[in-house]
Amino acid sequence: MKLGGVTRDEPMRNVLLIIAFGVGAVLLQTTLLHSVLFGAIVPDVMLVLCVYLGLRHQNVGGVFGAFMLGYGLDAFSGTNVGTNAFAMTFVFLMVYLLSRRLWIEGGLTSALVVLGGAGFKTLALVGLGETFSDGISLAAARNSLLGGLVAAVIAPFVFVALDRSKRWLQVAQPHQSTL
Amino acid sequence: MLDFLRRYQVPVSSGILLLLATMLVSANARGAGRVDPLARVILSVVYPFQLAVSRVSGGILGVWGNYVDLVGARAEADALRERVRVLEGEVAGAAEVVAANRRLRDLLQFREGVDAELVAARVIGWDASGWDRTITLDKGSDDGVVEGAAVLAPEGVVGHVFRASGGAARVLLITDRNSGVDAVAQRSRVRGIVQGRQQDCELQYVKRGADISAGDQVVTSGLDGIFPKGVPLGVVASVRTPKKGLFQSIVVEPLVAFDRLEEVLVQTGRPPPAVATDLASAE
Repeated sequence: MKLGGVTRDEPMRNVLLIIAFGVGAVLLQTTLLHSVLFGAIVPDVMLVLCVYLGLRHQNVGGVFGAFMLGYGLDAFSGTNVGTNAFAMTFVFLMVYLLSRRLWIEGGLTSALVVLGGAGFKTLALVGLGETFSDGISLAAARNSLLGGLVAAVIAPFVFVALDRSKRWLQVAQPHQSTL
Repeated sequence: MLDFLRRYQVPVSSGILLLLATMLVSANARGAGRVDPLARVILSVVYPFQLAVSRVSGGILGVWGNYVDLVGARAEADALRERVRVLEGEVAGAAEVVAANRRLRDLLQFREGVDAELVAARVIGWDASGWDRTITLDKGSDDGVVEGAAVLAPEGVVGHVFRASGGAARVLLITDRNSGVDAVAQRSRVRGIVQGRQQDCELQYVKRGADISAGDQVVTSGLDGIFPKGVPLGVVASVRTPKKGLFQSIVVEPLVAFDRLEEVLVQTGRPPPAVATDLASAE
């Protein structure tokens, strides 16, 4: 059913699309990418998804999606549940605030935003580490930033894949959030 | 009020979820019991896919590795190219079987030397970020794996289980910064805590002047109630005595090659008492 060009199924399709990409990202980050690439430096595909939400889905659904991406990451990373959920929500908020002040469009700018997102994420993790545990490891912070750097390189491709998947599902709606 | 909420829905909802996440982290950090309402469920749902991807990617990487190894030989003997291609798959499979056989034999020998109930498990995933050092195993509470169980390899200690679902378990490696293992230097019996530092470990709380030097082997003391006594942890790589402070700064290089870990043994019964088998001294 169409409502002003928007079908009722579209929000659900968007949710399923992000979940599918999220599960795929977790599987890649915990298996193949770990083996093929640089050992401790894991490309942060989940961060790319979070930034995508921050740019394309600026509503409550987007915030919740970012939180759940982080929570999903917590199930496969580290021991302290909530850490990545906090970091991803923080990244979403920062990207949202940034996008309201800057014109962000195209592959290069999306890559730069992901790089910035990696910085915000590292900042959030360092803050939590200093507040709730015995501090942070410099090697871990470096790995996090390098993972973000690799994520920035692949970000334009992930954005294109998401946009094309949306179009394929007939849910693409420029300038209008549907999640 | 409604207009305000509608206008600032993203910052307000972000604030609420940031607060919720902070409460989760805070509750877990206090150690009053793990608060993870969904993490175990997510692990249970995703691990079959992880297992499948791990097997497929392992196969692809194995074949690719053998392919790369054979490129030189193929260039030298062009006439044998077709023959090599036919044999390539067989060689890849045979090499993989031989390597797996060797690893499993080592595991079996190690298992016989440890006075504890152990179950073999396969590594199916690594930590999803570069921030922490954890792995996922294909055995969980259905196989008797419980949270807190020791995880060992023929070379020494791998870590301990911190989360177990029905068919999978997550392990905190000894190189993670949140890991601490009660340890003793095998030669001088000097005690300390082996704390993770991402790539290697540090033997902490060893007093200035205590008898320890580079090359000393560090083994578990068995006093933490998790690991059997005498299992190797690593070798002292360097010892430094700072100008200030009570303790020495000791770097320990783990014996286990974590990045190449494929199979491990997980303790399923109660941890053995501190007087159990001392593997290292038995050697």
